[in-house]
Amino acid sequence: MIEQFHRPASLHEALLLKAELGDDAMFLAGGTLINGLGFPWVPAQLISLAGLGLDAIEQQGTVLRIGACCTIQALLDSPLPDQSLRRAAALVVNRNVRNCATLGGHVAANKSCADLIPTLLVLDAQVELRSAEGVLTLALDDYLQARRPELITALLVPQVPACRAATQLNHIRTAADMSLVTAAASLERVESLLRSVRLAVGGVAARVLRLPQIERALEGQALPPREELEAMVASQVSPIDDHRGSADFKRHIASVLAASCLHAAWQEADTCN
Amino acid sequence: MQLSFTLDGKPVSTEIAPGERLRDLLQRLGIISARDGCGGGGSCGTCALLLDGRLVNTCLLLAAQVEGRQLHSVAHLAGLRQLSALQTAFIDAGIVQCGYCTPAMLLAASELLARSPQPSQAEVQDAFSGIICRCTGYQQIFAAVELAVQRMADPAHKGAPAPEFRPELRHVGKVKRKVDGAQLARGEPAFVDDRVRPGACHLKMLRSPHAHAYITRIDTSKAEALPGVVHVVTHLNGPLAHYNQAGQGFPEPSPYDRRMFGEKLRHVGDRVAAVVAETPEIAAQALELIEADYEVLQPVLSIEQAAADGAPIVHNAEVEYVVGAPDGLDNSGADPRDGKVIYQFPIHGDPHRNIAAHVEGGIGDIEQGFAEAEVVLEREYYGGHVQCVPAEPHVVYSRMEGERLVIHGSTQVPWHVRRIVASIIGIPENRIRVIKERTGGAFGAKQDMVLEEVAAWCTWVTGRDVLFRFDREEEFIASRTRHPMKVRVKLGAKRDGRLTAIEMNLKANTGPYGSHCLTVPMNACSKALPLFLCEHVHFDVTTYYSNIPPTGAYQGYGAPKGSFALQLAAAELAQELGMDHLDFVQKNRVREGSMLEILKCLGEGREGTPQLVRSCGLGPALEQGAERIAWGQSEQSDDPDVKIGKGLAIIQQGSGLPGLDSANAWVTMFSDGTFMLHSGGTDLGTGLDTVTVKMAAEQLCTPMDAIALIAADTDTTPFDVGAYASSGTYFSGGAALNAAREMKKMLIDVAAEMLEEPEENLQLVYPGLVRGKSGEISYQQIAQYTQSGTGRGQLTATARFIIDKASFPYGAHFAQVAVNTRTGCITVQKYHALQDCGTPINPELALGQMYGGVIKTIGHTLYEELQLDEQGRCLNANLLDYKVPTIGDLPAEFEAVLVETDDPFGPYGGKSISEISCNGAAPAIASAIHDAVGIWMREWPFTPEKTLRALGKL
Repeated sequence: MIEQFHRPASLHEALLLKAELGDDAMFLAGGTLINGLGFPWVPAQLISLAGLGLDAIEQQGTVLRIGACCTIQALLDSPLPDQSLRRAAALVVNRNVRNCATLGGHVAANKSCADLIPTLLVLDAQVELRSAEGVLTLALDDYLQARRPELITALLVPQVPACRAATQLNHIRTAADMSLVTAAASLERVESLLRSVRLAVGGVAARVLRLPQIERALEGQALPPREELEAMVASQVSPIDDHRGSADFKRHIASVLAASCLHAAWQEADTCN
Repeated sequence: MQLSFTLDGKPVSTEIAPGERLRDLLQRLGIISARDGCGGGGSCGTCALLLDGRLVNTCLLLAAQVEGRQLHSVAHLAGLRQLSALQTAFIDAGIVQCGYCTPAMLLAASELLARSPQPSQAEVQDAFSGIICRCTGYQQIFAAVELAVQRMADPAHKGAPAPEFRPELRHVGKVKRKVDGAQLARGEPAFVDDRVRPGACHLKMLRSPHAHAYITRIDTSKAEALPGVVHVVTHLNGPLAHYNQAGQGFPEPSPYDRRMFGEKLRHVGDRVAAVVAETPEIAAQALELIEADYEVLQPVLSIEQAAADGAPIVHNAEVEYVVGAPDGLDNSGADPRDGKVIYQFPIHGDPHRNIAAHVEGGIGDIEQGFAEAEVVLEREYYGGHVQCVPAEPHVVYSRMEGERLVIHGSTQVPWHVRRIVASIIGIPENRIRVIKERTGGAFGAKQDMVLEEVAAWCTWVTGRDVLFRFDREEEFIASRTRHPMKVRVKLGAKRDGRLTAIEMNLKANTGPYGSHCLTVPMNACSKALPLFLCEHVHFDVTTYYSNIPPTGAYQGYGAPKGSFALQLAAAELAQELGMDHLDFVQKNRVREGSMLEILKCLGEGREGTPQLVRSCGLGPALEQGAERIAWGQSEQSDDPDVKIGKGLAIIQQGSGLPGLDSANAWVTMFSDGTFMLHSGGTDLGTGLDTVTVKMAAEQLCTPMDAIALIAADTDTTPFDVGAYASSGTYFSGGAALNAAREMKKMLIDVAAEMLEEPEENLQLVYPGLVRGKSGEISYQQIAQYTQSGTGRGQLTATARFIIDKASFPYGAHFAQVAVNTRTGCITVQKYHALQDCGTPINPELALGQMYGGVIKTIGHTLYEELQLDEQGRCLNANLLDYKVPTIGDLPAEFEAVLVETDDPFGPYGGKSISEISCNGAAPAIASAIHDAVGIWMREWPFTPEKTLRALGKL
């Protein structure tokens, strides 16, 4: 049962509170996950992040700094993010949720089918973390691999160079569904060859996966046909059977979406040459 | 903790618990327009309010999160009892049906127009993306928003949100403001939840964790000892009566095969114990204190498992018959813990073989029909397990008023509820009053009494007010679903396409209890077979008991599944014959003047009657539909992975149950010459109340607001069977019209006396006069004359509606689909639904019924399905995983078209409109998929996974 709701006056105060209360306390941003059904546990103490100035989107040199409390809808409405990130934001189930849910909460929840995480991964995003001890910046993939106690205060997204493109696709049952399988890809097109390929898929493991083997294999190569890419992805993912689909189906869809993303990114990057 | 915020412009300061949800706080503050459709899952949007101008689900917020912020509810849209342009536009466009999601929709529109005064279609879809509406099919939202934009600029702008019919009539066939529209659009108290008094107790149910089990021990002592617990009911202290929960006319063709609480549990979610407590939290806590032991039995989940030799017996009960017991009835192996199965009359069940009901019949000689055939085709089709998903879950509030029990219900059948509750408690019907409140969607699920009797019993025993409200999971596992059905169709035809024989062999799964076990599966035949004219027809229907979640009525009844099977088999046969599908349909279809002999063997548990088709709009529906979809023209996608195809289906339903159903109405005159219409009709959001008012106003030549309505209250309105079998317009509308006709006779009679003119000289004249040759007299003068000390008394007319003639609505649905051959995803690109409902009484609402029925069944066809594990537990009993269509799922081109006919029996020529709309999507989409990629999808739902397997891609 929630026993206390704290409204710290500053970020510093919020971090001190968390240090003091430890695991009994949880930071609360938009609340759409913590307050929803099926959240695995109810924290005794909540530390509100509202009004702490964590919702700004700012261009800082070549990096876009998105405050963790920026809502998904605000991200979608902002002219600053790369269009691929705004398209990813538009995938989040519906406007009612996007009006509350925050980017920081979305990343911290680290769900397998998170709509924005694949795109953030292929954009080489970093996570800014804070605790009473200080500030730390981690690559998003590193953050996702281990549960960490610090507060996410921002996502740092490098500017996308002119000849680089990122795309994403998701598989849903209805227009306002959580994604069941996701994929995102980014690449640079150097003449007729691929460079710096990034590929991520969701819904096929406990969290979103980067597929580094495929990324490396494609480096400096011509873009293979879709069927070949599909086979490469299929060999790299091992989803489980559940009521949302069989493992075979999810593997197939992940492969199809990933291959389509790579081809779409290639098409989009075409104009940059 | 203390909380301060602004609500509709006024400061609010209140004490809250740190974990209190915002929605719960709003309820405490009396902001009832924040509804609850998903129990806090954030997945229906009906609780949405504007927070700092943005639409948010209040169930997903803690109250503490709104400190210092601005909240706006629907109440801010217009002052006092006014309606804003937005609200009138939504009512006039027909987008307000049950009204449960209307406040959220209005707020979505208001947020949208604040940021985008001339929104695009995509912006409208995005703005409404978080709101689930099961009634309207969303399509008219676009017109509503456009109308609102125009009215904001010009408050006098009327617009033309729907076509109008019958120019010679004033109200019938015209777009008129729905009589309950303003109340719903203002978000005022209207639903059961809004009637609950402070201090009411809350009922919660302990449900079976097993699909098939006996209770071997149950101990409720700890629960009863918990402070705040008022009463606990189990099979040990509950009422003994056997009954069926189906809200059907007595005697029902559904066996009395359950008690309120039994020793035998027959599905996951079956009742183990009910707790009545002072608060919902105490009730929930008490449930955990009940100790129960079970002897777990092997569950029976499928038709095959139920029919297998040596299958576990779901009802190993003593079988009894009120009349017509068959010879050789053997109850020797019955287990007393299974209770009884009491048939009111034979429906050829054999519960000891898991058979709940059986019927077969036909016309002509089926063997001869196949012998005459040059081509014979036999196929099997499967229709899955879908749930009605009304926005408002089942809810009831019961209380004592002196020595009488008052039940506030969200029900389709107030009189059946009264009768069944009286028989269970063992009291006369005159001790019970059932009031049907505004109903937040029903769709058949609320034809059955799945919770009313428990609350009523607990109130009767304790004297306390009791609120019992299902959560969304209970709605899936313990209310009603559509029977899964396997239909084997065998068709014989000549090479020229003429059908010589039709055989339907249907097996249905009724689940744990036999509600509608005969009539739903039989209806799959009776609403499918008469569409094709054929001399030799045979059907065989068997319904099995099992341990799946309970089934029952669902909009369309059995027809969607029978229609899917027969219509798709016809498409397959046409292909086999090398004929165009449309030509095949034209060659064999029913038309005006056809005599439907088959109906003599398709009565509801009794002898049926052959019927002559007196109105049938199939001809123009097919012609217009083919033109709209460019039938015969092949379409190419720009995307080489995507193939496009077209399909069609013809459909029909009934208009109530002639010879079985009846409806009644009274009209009473007030002293100023206005009237009160007392109608038994049960409006579920469909617009029936508007239909009955129009009937009276049209007949009595008055404005609609001269007719006040009171409806569906067993104390103050006369008997009506209820809203099912598409009976509303025909029966309840017919009764209102007949009562008004009686009133008209009285007015003429009195006026003749007052004007001293013969009756034949007199006529009623709008707005409320009787005019003769020598003069005229107002209704007010008539009222004062009749109600004076020397008058004949207040004029009150009563009438019934009964009929033995049937009026069938017809239609043709055309779909264009795109199949992505890499992902298996099927997109319905175009959908044209053309339907004949005789005279459309409320055209804008009739269109809404069609859009709603179609979009719902597109959901059933493509993705909706209850998924059970091998122990019978439902894996997707929530709106996150049981997906229903949203506004983003509409076909890009989606049109409902009313094809006018004039029916000789329906009131002002009206026939039914809603249920039929559910019969076309599955076969039209399936035949379009075949046209696109050459596969026949014979099993609902056509998920991407199944499509990929059929395409050989998995």
